[in-house]
Amino acid sequence: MRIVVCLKQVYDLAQLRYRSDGRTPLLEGLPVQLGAFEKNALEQAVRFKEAASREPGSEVEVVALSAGSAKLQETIKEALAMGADRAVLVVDPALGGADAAGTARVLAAAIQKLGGADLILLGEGSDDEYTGQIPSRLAALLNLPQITFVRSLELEGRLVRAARDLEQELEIVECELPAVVSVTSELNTPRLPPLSAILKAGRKPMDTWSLHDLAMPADSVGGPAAQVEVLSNLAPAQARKNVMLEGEVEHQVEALLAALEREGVLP
Amino acid sequence: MLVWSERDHLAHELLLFAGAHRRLLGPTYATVFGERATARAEAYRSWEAVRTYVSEAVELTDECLAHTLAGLAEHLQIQLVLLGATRRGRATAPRLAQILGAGCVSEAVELTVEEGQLITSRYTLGGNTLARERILTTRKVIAAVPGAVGVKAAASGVAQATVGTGAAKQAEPVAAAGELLPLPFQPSAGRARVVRREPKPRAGADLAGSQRLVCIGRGLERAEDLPLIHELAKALGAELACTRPLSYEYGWLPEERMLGISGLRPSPRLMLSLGVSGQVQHTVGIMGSRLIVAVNREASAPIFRLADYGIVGDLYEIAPKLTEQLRMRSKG
Repeated sequence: MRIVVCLKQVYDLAQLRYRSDGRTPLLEGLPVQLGAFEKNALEQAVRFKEAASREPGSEVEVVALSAGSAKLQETIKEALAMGADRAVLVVDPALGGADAAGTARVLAAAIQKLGGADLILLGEGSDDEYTGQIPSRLAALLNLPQITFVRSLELEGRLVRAARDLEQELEIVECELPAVVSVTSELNTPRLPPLSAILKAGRKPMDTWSLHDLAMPADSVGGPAAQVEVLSNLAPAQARKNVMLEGEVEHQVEALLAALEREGVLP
Repeated sequence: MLVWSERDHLAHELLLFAGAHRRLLGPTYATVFGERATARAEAYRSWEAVRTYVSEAVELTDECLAHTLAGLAEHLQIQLVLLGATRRGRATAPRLAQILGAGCVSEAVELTVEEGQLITSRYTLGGNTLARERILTTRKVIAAVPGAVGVKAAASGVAQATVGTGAAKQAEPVAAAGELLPLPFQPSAGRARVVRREPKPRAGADLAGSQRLVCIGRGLERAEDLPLIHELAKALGAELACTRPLSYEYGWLPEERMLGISGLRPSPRLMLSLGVSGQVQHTVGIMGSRLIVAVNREASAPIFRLADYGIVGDLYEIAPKLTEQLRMRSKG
């Protein structure tokens, strides 16, 4: 069985800074890391692999798949250290500015070039963009069933059973493989790979493909092909007061109470 | 345009938006699927739609919904499909868009018409920024959250304008009753099957509708210290909320009290945040608060950037003193 985990490299938003206007995010030079939701997806895949290794005659291969810039090399090793068997990167300058529809087409083409997958796991959205469109678009492109917002997942042979975490209910859904499943952060706690695994990760196979390798024209998925135009992307204008209450604790508490009174938010 | 949400009041909001912009958006069609669809559809007659398609046979799985809505969109030559951005709607919208060759915004927190164009806003960069976007394709699929179109439909069916938005002012009720029709085709069965549904336990109180919230984070060292926070919440007339680690990881408080990207995103008048560092996944959940007060030991904690009033200090010192002062005030 082959499980493909689609991973996104995301900005480390804890280090996000703004221009002097206080609203324009400064993304140049912002450190990147493996997305948090994707780690939950990968952890699940590795657990399935470990469970299969205890049963004779069943074997699971975990492929980490990612599309983007050459910077992917920096973060994909973490996925290999967590337990992916191999990595496939689609790296192409023409991917710059790709929207969700473009990225989904690239991932679908890469999965087809791999020879397909039994289970495709993704995060419900990415920490930074959070368009949340890739799992559903990918499932449509590959004509596979989809189960989204999954917080617990089981495999019984070729049957996948999942609990979808909806607003007011858990919805228990099942379908036959192959399928696309998107997961929430409640699914599990991703492992921290030990040093030995980190050292071994560099020796695992890694393929790097271009759009040409996927037989996709360079202008078919990047910025020029985007279906959605971003007019602006700014921190909301409603500025907070940012008043720090200084002094002794007694004084701070009194000042806070006075402020709450003034703002009219006390009962 | 075509509208679907499994929540009827959300569908009503979207239909009011359609009514306000009928000249741009053309005739409006609604859909009601799933359990009790026939009974629920009666209310839709007076909600702007010229025609409402009703089917109890459509299963509410992403694939089945996407194919059914795509079939209707083709049948009716629809350019815009508007869905309610529940999790179901957010997952269905991109699949529907992919089938229709449409551009999509799957969680619009604001949807407006500006100079004859549909403009959406959605949170990005972990909720730090709001992206204003325009879909370039002729066909468009948008999933909008409650309140995104500037009207909130009350449970009674009476629409009320929310503050600061324009769409509702243009909304006028339609006199003619819309007709109810069965689907013009057999809905395709999706390959995923719903085995059962388990209602989630409810928080004892309505956090979403609460005026004041006290949100506790990892600054709280032990579950045994929770009474300290309960006392403060009581004195403040507030409900208790928490960050993800306290509910999901430690199990100290139920998940129904968790704020953030995977939890609630309420809009209280006061959010008193104690011992919360302010990770982006959490701050998405508090941004709707009118006034934010933060208490944290670390002066560099990101939460202070979002706060109206901040105190660098120990919540174990601040909370009891604040409780005491609030009690004295209510007695005085």
